[in-house]
Amino acid sequence: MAMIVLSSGCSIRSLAVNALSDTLAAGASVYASDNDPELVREAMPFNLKTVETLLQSSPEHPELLLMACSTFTQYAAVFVQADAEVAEWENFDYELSARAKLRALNMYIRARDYCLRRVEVDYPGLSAQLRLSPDNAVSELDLEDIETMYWLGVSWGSAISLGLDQPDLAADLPVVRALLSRALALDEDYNRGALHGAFITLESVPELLGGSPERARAYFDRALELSGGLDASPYVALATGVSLAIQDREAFESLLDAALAVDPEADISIRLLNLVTQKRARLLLDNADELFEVPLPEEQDKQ
Amino acid sequence: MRSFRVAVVVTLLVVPAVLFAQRPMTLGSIAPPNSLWDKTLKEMAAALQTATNRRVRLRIASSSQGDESTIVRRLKLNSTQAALLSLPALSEIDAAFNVLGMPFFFNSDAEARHVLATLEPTLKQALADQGFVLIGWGHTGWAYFFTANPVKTLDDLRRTKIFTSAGDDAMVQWYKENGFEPVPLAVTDVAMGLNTGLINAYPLPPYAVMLVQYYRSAPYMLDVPLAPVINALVVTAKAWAGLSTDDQEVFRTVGKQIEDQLWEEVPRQDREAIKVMRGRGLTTVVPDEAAKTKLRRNVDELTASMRGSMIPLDIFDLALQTRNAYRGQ
Repeated sequence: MAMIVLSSGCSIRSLAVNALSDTLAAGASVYASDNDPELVREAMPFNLKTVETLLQSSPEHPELLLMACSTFTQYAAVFVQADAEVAEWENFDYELSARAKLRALNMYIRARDYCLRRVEVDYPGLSAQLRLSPDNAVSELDLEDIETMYWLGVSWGSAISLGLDQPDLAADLPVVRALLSRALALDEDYNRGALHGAFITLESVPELLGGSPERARAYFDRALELSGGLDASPYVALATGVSLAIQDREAFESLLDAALAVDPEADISIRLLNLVTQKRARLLLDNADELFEVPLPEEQDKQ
Repeated sequence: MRSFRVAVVVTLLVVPAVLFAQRPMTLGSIAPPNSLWDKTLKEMAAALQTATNRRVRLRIASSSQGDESTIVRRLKLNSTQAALLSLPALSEIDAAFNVLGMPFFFNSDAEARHVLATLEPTLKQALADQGFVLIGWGHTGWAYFFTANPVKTLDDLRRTKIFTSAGDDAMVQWYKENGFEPVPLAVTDVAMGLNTGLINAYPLPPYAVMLVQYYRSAPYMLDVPLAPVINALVVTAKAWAGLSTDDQEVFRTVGKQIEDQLWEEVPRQDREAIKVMRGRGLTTVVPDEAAKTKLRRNVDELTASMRGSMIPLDIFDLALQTRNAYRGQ
């Protein structure tokens, strides 16, 4: 009898977790289409802790694991890391910036680990293989894993970009490239060019680390094509990844102006993303003097 | 009325700091953003800003100023006022700095720092002659030889094709005169060189090797440190003169703390990088003590030819004498 009660208790809990998981998953579009970034910023932590609480009851729940991975990544990127940039560019407040970056880094790592747990649900042992032999390991993943590949790649890559002083983290850059390349090969137009957007950033790393400004520009062109020009983020990705790195201020400003010209109301499914991206574009333009070096005489001659 | 008075007092306390605050100095380096060096420089900027009540502010420009020779040009044109310069750039400023890069010359950080302290007045003067004030010494890590096949002895190394930076003609010449096979390449061509067999040995600090993944093509590391890649934190004499004596003192103190931090944390980072790479296919080749001693003695004989050609006589002699005295202690 006790077994039956326990068993039915487990089933009820499982049903409740599934129902809540479905509701939270449906809620993602409510956040994405919001027109008030501050409201979303304040609401997201509750969402994150709810997902983590549910995962305690159901630690291998695939949708919840993926949701935790994607939501932590987005929250860290859109809100926490943005605080670090503001502190650094506007006030040279490196102390505040370092604290915000550390928080963002820890969130990216937490997000990555949720995605790795998601991978382990279907492919036991694959997360260890990813580190040892990334190109072979990703060949196990299939089209149905594309969402996981995307968020795993983005969270891992974002963590590496903030944690270059941690060798055990920085060593995994090839895993990020392998994951996103596999995803791109499986579904080139995933999420209207999201993978091309991620590759703009990935190709913006120095040439010694495998980056290429030319390839970044090609990914940018394709991302614009697939998004129909309704997504402001590829413009900002190319401006910060390539134009800033090669100190091309004219291209930088022109790309950010283009990002600001995107109408957030034209596609309300990504309204929030466009609003926060445009806020960042304005911040970058306002701080361009701090981000660009005074041109040397020969550089002035070229201009 | 009371709150108005409070506001006036606060304003009086705040205004002098604001009035005396200067434009931020720009500090250039080739360190990648969010690397250990970038984070350490930003810690220094934060400490300096706090200790001088924001009179001295630094804008840390990591990897946005081009290569190191461009950073040096920016320093000379005063568009940048401070920099963390590594050994190749310092050697271009004055050949005396070549003494710090002599192969297998130092055994340890402690030995290198001891010799560095003795050489400091000479090197400081070399920088001053070019309009730079030395604040402290940094560390990029010890270079080791990474090879496609196991290397234990100098003769093994002579059988490899060693990457040498294109343009470093003196080093190419030295290698050739001593029976090595140097292959001058642009830094960006090293991966191609390793993949095609054009080169099969290169000297780099372990952390850098891990980041660029070269150990996958050349998976052996000769576990005898080749040379510490030392760098220097400098401020232009013009910017330095614009600081009060008190602020200069604070800058030196904070700079010294950063120096100690880098000399502790960079080797730790390299040790971790070696551990990570060993878990992914790197093999460290460890010669026994007798073989290490023989290797160092043989190289010492070879580096003697650098005296007076690549390295000025006086600094070469001082470095050798100081190092030998340190070893004799």
